[in-house]
Amino acid sequence: MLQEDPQSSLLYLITLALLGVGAVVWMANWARRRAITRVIGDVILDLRKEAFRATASHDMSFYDEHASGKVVSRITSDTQEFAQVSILLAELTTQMVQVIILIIVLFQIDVRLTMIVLAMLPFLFLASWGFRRWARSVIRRAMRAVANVNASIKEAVTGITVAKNFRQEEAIYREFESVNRQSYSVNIRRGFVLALVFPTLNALMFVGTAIVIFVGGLSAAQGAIAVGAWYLFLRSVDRFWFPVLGLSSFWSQIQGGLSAAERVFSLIDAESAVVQTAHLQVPKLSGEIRFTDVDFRYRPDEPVLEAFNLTIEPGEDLALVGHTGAGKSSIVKLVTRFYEFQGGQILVDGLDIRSLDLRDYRRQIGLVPQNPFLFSGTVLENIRYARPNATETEIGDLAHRIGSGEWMEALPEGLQSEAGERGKLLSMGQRQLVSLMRVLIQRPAIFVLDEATASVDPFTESQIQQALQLILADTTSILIAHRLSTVRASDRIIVLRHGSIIEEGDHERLLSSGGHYAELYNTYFRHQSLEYVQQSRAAALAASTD
Amino acid sequence: MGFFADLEREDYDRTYSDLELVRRLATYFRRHGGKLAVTLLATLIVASAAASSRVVV
Repeated sequence: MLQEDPQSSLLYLITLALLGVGAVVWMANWARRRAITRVIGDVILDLRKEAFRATASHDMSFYDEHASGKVVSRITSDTQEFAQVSILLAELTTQMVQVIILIIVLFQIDVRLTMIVLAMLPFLFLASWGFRRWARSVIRRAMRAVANVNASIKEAVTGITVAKNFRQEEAIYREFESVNRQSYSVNIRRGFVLALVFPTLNALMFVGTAIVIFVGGLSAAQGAIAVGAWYLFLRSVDRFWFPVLGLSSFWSQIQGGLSAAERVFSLIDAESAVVQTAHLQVPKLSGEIRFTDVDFRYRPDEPVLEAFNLTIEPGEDLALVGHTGAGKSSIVKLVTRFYEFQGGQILVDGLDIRSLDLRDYRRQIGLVPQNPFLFSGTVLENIRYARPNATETEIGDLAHRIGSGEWMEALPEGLQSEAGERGKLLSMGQRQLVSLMRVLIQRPAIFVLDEATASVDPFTESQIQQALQLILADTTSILIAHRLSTVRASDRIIVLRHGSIIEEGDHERLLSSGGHYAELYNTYFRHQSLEYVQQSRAAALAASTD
Repeated sequence: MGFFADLEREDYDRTYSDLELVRRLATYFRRHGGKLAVTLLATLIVASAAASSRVVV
């Protein structure tokens, strides 16, 4: 049949060639999309890793000043936004190549008409550029609004116990509704701005096409261009406009990707307030700590410590007492190097705290915060947190030195019991014991305890005291004390008021001097004393017999 | 102004020029040169076929 009809054979050949080209294009498209997906996935992976590493390395002032939900939003939502725009950009690259090829084709058809088409391009790009600033601004706001929503959800979920306790579910819902509504409005506005771009550019494209039809028509009528060539030009120019419009209209969306990248890079580049002047290897510390004329403030106009001087001897157990805002936590934050001080010097074993390798230094500090934080996982994993190579036998032996290990036996599966998120499957007393065990296993040179104010039963209290004694025996300790037993166990008590030491000494001497400590004792500690409990019982008994 | 209340920038926010951002992002993409070369080649094939099909047909 092919020999009888050469036109049919040509038709078959063209069809087969097109099918072959289609198969190649399909393969190329598949390879392109696969590679793009992998590259963008890997880039986002790197970006998130870098952003998370930078976030984790920031000092505590960063976390105190910025809502964690907003930081999370940058690492997750913003990098995702960037990924989506990157995919879009990859598509645009394909379109850009098409534009270049089509320009060559158009020049082949008619140079004059092609020049008219190209003359429209600056107008299109100028219009796109005009939208850029506007788009960038609304996109930034939209991202901040999404970050606010994330922060609101995170805070609500974290504080849900308190909210339920105070029956504030409706209030947290209203707060969420408010930020969510704001995010909705801001994102709608973003959508409206972006929606303006395409119609505007489309209108410009129609102007260009109209000019080409008019000039081309006149040329065809005058015989300057063949009607067939004019028709082919119009078909090709139609194909040319589509990617050009894509390039222009997506320009505003690309601003979204750049805004997202800007927010992520800002997080990565955020400077730490705590700056080490050197990274000296830290030898095994004996634990001498010396504050010399230290000035410290959280905000420029609110000094907390001024020309503060304090020396803690190696192995000394020092209790800090004072009303809220006296400066107890600030001293601890400076020793742990969580915050930067503005003046003076802090020496540890005679070494400037600013010159030490922070990882090395913190390895020798054992910290138990007021609200002991446990990670999801088993009790054993939480105890091993500071020393992953500690054996189960070692931990078990140590656990038995506290109340003969009864606290551990009270756990449903012993050391293998699940702690739950933030340790919520354990009682407050058990959480305190686990966090003290964590320090015991770590064997630090300096122990910092911000004692929990929560009451525990007398049995757990005695076990906590046993664990504390084990730690205090081998460390220089700074104790923000809330329990009478802890204050009494310390070698020296420092009484602070408005960032100054107003009294110091041991419990008996300070009590007998009748100063601020005596007043604090009567306010905070006296009701915990055995004498007070016995007197109260006797009084209650006498009242009931009357 | 109430519409945009609480949407202020954080104190660590910075402004980068487009060029700075593109250069910095390029460092992330540069690590995947091989895959990008495949993408470019495939893009050329797809774009050439798409651009010429209208003219040829």
